[in-house]
Amino acid sequence: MGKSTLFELIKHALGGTALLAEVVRTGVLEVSVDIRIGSNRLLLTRPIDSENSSVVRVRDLTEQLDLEDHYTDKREPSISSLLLSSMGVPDDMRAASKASNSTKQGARISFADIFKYMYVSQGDINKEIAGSEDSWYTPKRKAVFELLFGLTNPSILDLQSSVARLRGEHEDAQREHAVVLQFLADSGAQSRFEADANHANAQAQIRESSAELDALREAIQPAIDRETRTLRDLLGEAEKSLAEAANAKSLTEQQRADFAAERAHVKQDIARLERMASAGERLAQIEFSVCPRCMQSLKAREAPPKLCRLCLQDDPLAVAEPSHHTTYELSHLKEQELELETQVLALAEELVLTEQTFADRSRLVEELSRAIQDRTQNRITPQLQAYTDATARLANAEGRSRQLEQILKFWDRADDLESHAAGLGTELSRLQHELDVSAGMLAKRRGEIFTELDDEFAENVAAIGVPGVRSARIDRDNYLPVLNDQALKDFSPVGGVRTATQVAYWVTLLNVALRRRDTLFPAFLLIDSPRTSLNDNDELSAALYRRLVTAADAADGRVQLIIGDNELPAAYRRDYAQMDFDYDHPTIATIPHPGREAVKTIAGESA
Amino acid sequence: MTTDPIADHLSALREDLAYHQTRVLLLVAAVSSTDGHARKLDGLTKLAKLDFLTRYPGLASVVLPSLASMQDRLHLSESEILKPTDVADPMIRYKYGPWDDRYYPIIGSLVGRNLVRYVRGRQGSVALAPTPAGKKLASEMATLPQWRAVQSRCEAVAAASAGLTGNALKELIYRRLAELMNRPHRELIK
Repeated sequence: MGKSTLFELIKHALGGTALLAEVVRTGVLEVSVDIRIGSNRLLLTRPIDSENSSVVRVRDLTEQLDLEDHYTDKREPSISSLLLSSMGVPDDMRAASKASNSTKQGARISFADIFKYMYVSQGDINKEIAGSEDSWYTPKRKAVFELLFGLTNPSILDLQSSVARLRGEHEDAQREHAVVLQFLADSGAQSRFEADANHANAQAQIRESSAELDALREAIQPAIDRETRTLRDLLGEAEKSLAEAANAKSLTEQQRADFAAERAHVKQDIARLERMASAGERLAQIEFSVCPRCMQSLKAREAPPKLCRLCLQDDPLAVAEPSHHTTYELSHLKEQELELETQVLALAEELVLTEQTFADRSRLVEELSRAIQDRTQNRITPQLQAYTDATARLANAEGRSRQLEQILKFWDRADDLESHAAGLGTELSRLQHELDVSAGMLAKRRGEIFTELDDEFAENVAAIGVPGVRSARIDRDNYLPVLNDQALKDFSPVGGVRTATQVAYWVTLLNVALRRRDTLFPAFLLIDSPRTSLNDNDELSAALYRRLVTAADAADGRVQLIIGDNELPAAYRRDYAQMDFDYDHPTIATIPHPGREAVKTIAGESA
Repeated sequence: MTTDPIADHLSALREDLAYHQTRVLLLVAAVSSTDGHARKLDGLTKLAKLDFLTRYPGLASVVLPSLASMQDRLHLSESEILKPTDVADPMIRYKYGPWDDRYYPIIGSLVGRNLVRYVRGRQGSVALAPTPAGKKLASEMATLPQWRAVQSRCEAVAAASAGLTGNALKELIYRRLAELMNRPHRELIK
């Protein structure tokens, strides 16, 4: 276990997100630090295992009391709040970007942000200053700088957050207003004035069409009731009598047909009887000349009159006299035929009358139907057309009215949005002005501090003898070192320039703060392995340590400097409290050093 | 009117027989004098079929379509057209179609009175031909108003059936009046 692991453990104990080495996770249960912060002296103990590591046990060493547990996650009370309030820094400040287009109210400033100004890790010493490599972190880094040096105050930070938030709301409101206006333009909606006028017009149309419909309803109703009903009644009667006439006609036709058929039968019978009589009369006169039984000729046979020529017996019937039976039947049939003829004639006459009645009724039904049709066509149909037209106009006007109401709603919305945006704009201007005034009041202090910082920094850089540097100052805007009018990140990293500049920078901030005594800048600095990147440049290394020692001397016990390094220059050995760790004396006495070959570094660099 | 019912019956019987004999005589005479029949009525089957067409004149043109052009000679009444089976002298359905059981005594009487004679028919059958007395009586009867229509029908049927044998006529009747013939033997065709 090396120096970096030890320093990261301190960071962990203070509630930060530290890089914990494997050996720590397996061999350490919890870490405790005894710190003096503000007027407090606290013992903070935080477990290593991830399950419990969000809880920090706090003991007030001054009062010798265990305080309630504090948390590193979102639970309250938070360890960050405790440490900030101990330093005299409010814990509800937000670091909003001061850029004129920023719309974010900024993230809350925590103790971890301030700790970046107290701890320069081995990974950062050759790379960045308090997270300066991350542009997204810049607003917070700067806010913390300003806060620590009194270049800002909680009310200014709050104003900055409010301005940014308001700016966002203002832009949203303006955008929403523009969207609604664009929608209205795209949908061809008239201006507010036109929409109002058209809506009134549509309402008038609705009233007019409704009145027209009412009038038509009243006009049509009586016409149907009074006159058509009478015609319909008459038609009903006429249709009934037409059906009766049709029945009578068909009955008479059937009767006539029946009588005619009967008459035909009688005539047939009469004709047959007459044929029988005439045939009988003729054939009776023709004697048999051949026997119909044996077929022998009878020509030679003489037979006295009144005897049968075949059997020579008396003929029971007088020859050539029509029988009484035939005469009687014939006369009876002829009487019957006459009677039937009379019936048929009578029925024929009746049929003529019935057909006449039928034709009359048919005509009446036809006339009545036509009259009803004429009435409905001539009187109601035009009215119905007008009714249909009025209904269509009403529906159209109602549709237009609904559409315009919708458009007017959008205009209302647009007006609301516009006035909301205007209100936000006014408030934004007011706050911006207030912010400008507040910032202006701090302008003098700002000038003094930066003059001091510049002087101190230039002196430190010169004293350390950073290679190739002719001029050095602190940037007024991003608060980072400027060498030869070049930003540090653009300056050549050769020869330990970055490490030396960083040490000069931190010593500068510390010295100015200690000298002025009116800043919140913590009197604590933890630097991990400043020599690592100096490439065994002993001269530079010596100058660097000389500057650190000078700073510590000047502070007269008001500052704590912790430097972790592999080898201190010989001149400073034992001048100050020193702890040596080697294979025989591991950083944690209970965890033996595994040997050089088995060392696992926590940041990819040698420990 | 006589008081003797037997005499009345006998008189009616004799007149009815005379009536049928006269009609058959007219038919035999008409057929024998019409071309296409070889001057005779060949066979009782043919006699029965031609007599059927004469007694059911409303059906005659169905069996022999050429009769349709001789409607006047058929003397059809309205009821004969509307109800062609409702006739004064219905026949029965027997072997080979329409038949009348009185044909044998009728022919016997006609031959006994020397009005019709037997002649040799085709394929050994018996054919009938009128005697000179029969022809004379037939022509006399044709002048009577009661028989004029019957004689006209006989001539029309004879003309329309020229060249047809009795069997051919039977086939035509079976085919064209199938429903009418589709009944039990001895049932009246009405």
